[in-house]
Amino acid sequence: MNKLKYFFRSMNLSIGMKSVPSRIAAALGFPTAFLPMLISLKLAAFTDTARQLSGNPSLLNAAFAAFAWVVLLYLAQMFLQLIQEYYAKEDAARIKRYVKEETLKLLCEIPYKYIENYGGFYERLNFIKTYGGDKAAGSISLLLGWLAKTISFVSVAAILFTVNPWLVAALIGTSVPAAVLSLLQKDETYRRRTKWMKEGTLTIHYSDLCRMNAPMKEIRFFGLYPYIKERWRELADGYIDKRKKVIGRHVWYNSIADVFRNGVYFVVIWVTVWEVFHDPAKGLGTFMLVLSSAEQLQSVTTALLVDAVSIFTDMKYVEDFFRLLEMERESGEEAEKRQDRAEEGAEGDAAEEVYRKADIAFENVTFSYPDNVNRALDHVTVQIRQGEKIAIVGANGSGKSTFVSLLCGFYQLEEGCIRINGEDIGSNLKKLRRSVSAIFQRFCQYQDTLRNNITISSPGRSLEDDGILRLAGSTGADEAINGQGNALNEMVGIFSDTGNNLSGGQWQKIAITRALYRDNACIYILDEPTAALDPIGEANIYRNFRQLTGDKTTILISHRLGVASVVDRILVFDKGRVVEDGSHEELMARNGLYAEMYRAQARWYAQVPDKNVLSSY
Amino acid sequence: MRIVIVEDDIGFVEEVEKTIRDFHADKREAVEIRHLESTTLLEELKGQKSYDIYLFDVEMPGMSGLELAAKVRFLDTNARIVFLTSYEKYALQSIRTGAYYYILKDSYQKELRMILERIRREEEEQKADYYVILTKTHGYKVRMDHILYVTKEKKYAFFQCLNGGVYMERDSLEKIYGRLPRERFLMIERGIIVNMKHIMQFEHLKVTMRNGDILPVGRNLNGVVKDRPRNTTVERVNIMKLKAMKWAFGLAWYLDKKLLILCSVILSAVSVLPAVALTYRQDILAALNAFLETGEGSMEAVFPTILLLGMVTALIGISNRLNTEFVYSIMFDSYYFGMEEILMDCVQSYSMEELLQKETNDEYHACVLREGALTDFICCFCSLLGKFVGLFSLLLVAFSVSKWVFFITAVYIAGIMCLNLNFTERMRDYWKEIRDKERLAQYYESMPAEPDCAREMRIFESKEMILRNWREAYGAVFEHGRKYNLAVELRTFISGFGLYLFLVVMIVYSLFELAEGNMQVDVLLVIFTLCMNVFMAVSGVAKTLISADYGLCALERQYRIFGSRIECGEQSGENREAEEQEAETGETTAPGQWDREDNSPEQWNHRDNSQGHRTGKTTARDNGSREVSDLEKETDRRKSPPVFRTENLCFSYRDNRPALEDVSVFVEKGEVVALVGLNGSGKSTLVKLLLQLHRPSAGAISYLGRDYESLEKGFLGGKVGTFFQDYYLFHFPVWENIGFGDIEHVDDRERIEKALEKGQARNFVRNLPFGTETYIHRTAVKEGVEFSGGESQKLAVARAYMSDRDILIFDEPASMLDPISEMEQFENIRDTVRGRTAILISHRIGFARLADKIILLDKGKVAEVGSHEELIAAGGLYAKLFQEQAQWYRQEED
Repeated sequence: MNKLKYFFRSMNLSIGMKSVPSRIAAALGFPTAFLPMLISLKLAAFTDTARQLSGNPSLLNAAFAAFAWVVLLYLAQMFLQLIQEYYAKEDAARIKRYVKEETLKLLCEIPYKYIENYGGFYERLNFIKTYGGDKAAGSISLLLGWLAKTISFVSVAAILFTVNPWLVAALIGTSVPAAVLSLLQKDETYRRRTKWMKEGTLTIHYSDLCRMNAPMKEIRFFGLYPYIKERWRELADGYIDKRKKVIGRHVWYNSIADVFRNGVYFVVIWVTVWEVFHDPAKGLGTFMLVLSSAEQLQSVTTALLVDAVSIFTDMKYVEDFFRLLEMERESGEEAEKRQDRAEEGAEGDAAEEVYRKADIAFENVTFSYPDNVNRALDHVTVQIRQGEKIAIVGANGSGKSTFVSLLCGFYQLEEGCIRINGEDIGSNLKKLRRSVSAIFQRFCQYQDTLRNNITISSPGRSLEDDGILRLAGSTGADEAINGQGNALNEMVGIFSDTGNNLSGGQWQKIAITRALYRDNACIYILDEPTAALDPIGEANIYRNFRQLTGDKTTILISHRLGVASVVDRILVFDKGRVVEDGSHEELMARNGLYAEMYRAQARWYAQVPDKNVLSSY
Repeated sequence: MRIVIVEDDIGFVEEVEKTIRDFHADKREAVEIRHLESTTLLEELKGQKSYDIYLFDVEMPGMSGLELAAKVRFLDTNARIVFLTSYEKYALQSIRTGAYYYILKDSYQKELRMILERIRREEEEQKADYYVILTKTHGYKVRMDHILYVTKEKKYAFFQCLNGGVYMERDSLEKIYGRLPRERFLMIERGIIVNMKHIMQFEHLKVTMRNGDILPVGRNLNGVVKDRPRNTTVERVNIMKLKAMKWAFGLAWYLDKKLLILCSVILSAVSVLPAVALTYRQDILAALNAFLETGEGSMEAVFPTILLLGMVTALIGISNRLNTEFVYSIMFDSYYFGMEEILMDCVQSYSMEELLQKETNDEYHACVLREGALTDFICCFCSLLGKFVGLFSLLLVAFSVSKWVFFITAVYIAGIMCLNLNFTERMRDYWKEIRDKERLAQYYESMPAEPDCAREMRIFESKEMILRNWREAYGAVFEHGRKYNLAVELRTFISGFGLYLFLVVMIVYSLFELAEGNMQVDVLLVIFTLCMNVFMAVSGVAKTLISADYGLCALERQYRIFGSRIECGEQSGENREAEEQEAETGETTAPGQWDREDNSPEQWNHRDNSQGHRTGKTTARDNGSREVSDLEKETDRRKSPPVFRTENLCFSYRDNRPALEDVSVFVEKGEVVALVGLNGSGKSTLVKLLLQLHRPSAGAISYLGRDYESLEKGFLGGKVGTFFQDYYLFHFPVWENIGFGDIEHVDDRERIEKALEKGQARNFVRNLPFGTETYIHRTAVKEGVEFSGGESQKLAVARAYMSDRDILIFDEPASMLDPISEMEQFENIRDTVRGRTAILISHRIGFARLADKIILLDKGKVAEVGSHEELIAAGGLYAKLFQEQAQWYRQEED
């Protein structure tokens, strides 16, 4: 029953895809279906008239009339076919756009874990994008086409039947193997496509490696090209072999079917000629009629069989497509709902859209990443009050980034609960996210103007350039901006006319500015914000830290323990647990993990060089 | 004429000046001669003052003439540099600096006059080629060729030039138009003058210039614009097409001759079948007609023809399957992958700077994306060949029926062909127009799939913005597609209409003939079928032509960018042979990585003295530290040239901003050097230059005394263990990624384990599900792993240790590590580099203390050099940087 539900849904969708003229064109398909039969009949009549014309000029008008009929019918057929083709293409374009838009929306709204290819999401997505969407949204055309073809089939078969029933039988009979074979190929195609995705992707990737900018210096310097090319060759050869086998089989079977199918013409012509010889009344017209109809009957029969089965087999694709669209989306109010509430005059609600102050509480939070056995966070319990400046330190993989990811609601917890002002964040993800601003360790570099790179963090806010530049001044990004020809309007990245791009440090300062631009947020998350900055840039950020973060709760992840002097409190993570929690002085007094880390860094900066550091063994 | 002489021999300078003045006095021309010092000259050049002729001596105190010439070339690319020296030996080097001429002092007078004459004539010819733009304070001399177009805004005229520069002149456009040569410039609208040489494209009422700007054309001038430079640009386009076609055939021939011939033959053979079927049909119809008329004939007589017709029809049925898609799929293997391989090989022959430059980069990426272009083109070509053969056979049949029929058929075919060709031309423009928007749309489509962007998007709520931008970009693509669609259908309609017109003419003519008894009815019916067959043959051509042109378009681009480097057969053939050799002997053919060092005399000066050193090297290698006595170290230093030495090194990624200026540093053998500086100071750039990844714009680098110019490409890859700041991890298993550090020993698992250990990566790799077999990244292999920043950094450091070389370079090896791992990493580095030569770069200035010497770069120049103590005491930039970091750790000491 599920299948039936999807079937109707795809019908609905594809009808919706068509514009009004397109629907009219589709409806016109039915009368068009009669044309082949009419053309054959008129052609036969014309042939007979022409035969009688021989040496009888008086019949010329009749002959012209007969011919005129034929031409008119042909023209009508061509015209109608053209219209249908045009609208078919237009529909295809609309479907393509629809699929793109839906998958784009999907990508934006699904839970974050899928973006990291949870459950092989990307393979499904790519597959559907390539094959599924078209089938789902094009189903009504397939159905209507099939119905029209049925009409053609019946009408043409009828004509041939009047000549000789065996013709019909022979033609239909020999069309079946070809139809069966093309169906078998289709199933195979589906399977082949799924199986070969990985090898195809890998081959493409390896050839891309040799051309991409990022690995170029490694390839050049280490002389990796021959090795990579060897790997690529192996994969390509494997792929080619597989293809050859499949194509070989495909060609062989189809050739046999074709010979079979076309061999019947011998029978057809023979029977027709025999009929004419035996019954001269049938006339020459019969010959023309049979020849023109025979071909049409064959193609229509094949198409009928193939399309009928397609309608069923395509359901696989269709189902996948709709399943994908039905995937869980992150909860949050849709724009319409928000508008409705605004219209209802719920003014108080507007204030609920974002947290004005946030007391964060992690209660016994346990979490592990989807493919990972180890616990990323293990029974973590932490309280953070509004306005506190917290530094999070710890070894790589100790759970720092996981902590902030969970705070942003990117994953679902295994155990425990995260609360803001007592509310579980899962109950209103949108509100939580609206209250947070962040710069992550790997921040995004938008291929856009510098201005948009900064203002993207708060689409609702509008600030004049002066204000933006002032903000940039406090983070040090103004130097990067002013160094560009068009200042804030400078396009950077791949869409820049001059191939302009910023350096790593400049990008980081822009990203920090971006995070701070979102001033509606009450929680700031800064994950390694100075990793790419030089000593002066870094010192600048530390100096302005209090001023930049104002009264917002700030969580700063850093390996540079110099931050200790600008934060109130430090959380030390180790293997998913918070092992130490306190101010810098408290933790140094404890002489634990933090103290060890701090001393490891500080000793390089001692005024008196530490002999242990520099001497040889 | 402005001439400058840089020469230390004053007497000689006076002589030369006299010669020059005499020469110009004869010609009654003004000349300005200046005698300057090298530094003064360079200052003037930086201040945009340039000269027409530069006369340099080579041997001078301070900067040599050759060095000066390189610098001058750097600052003034069109400089005419003439060397005046007593020695012949510099001639070869002078060529490298692009010298205009080389004159020996003993016979200079005659040659100098000859040069002056030649230059004078050149200047005269060129004078016509310059346009002088005058403002209140300056005069700019701009080459006519460089002016794209001139527009008017209020009282000023704006000259848009080729390099992007815009000059302003306060004058009316008419007067300016009067000053520009009429054959080259045309006023296309009241406020616009264009340089016709730079018009790339005409359309109705607009032109597209070389830099992409589109300018409107006044209605009354539209015709004039169209007529004028048609010969230049269109001609060039057509020649390019032919060249690209020839090149494509060469490639196809080289890649797979048999396939090409086979496909052409089969498709041609198969395409004559309809004509053959037609003749048999005619026979049967004739027989039937005769029977119906006169009662003659019988089944048996017709039977053979029926049999033949049946067979031919069966064959036609199969041949319908041999359409373009089928041919494409059988050509795919040889041509697609073959082309991919050729492009891959070709890219390797470019230097990195060339590839990173914008014009090359964009075009180049568009190029390599279309590897299928060759397959498209060749299979369409074979298809077309078949179709033309088919058309020809049908024309023969027409001829056999009657001359009129033949004539009318020929006219029809010709007409349709022209229609299609014209259409194909317009199609090209369609693709170009929409390319940018398509890229933009694709960018927005792929953005939410990137984890980095996906995270930010969910927090910043930028989903609406992305959707909006995508809709805008794709909307343009969609509309464009719709227009294209409409155009295609319209064209199909016209050609279909043409068919029925054609049919009507033929049949009406035939009916008349029939009525008068000149023709038999079977002939008429054959004519009817002939028309249908011709139409089918011709309509297939249109689509195939468009596909062929689509492929040709991409091929032209590929030819333009790669054509010169891909001589079919030679380059790729060589590579293939080299690889086969490699496979056989198991050695790389990169010549003499090990040999060279052994054979060159300079390195072995100290061989005997350093025996102890060498044995020390081999035994201590395992634990990464060395026992080298200070005395031996001292001896080595004195005897051997520095490992790296740069002299007045200059480099810039792009023309305007120098990344390195006048950098002269050296790294002695066994020295550990720390390279520090702010972001953008040029540290990584210097390292890349030292590693042969880029070529300097000016100055020299040497390795152990050997100039880099004389080194093989990839020579240093075998000498230096390296960690790049912007390292890249490949979508290969972990062990291979590490093994890449020493590609010859990539299979040596023990080495890989040791390297992992040293890089601090062993532990987390061991915990992976597949251990070292785990794939890095999840691009294609689902079981792959995306490592965190710190983990991947450790892996890349392990790669640097793989090769266990004597020279090591670490550029920010611990920037993403936590404090303890960072400390361990640096301690490891410290232990490993002891006794070896190393360059360390880190933002953590504290680590500079590990080094024997610190080099501080600032904005591309060397600012300070010394040990940590020295530089702190000096209280300069280094001290400041150190303080900036150290101040945050004061708490502990307080």
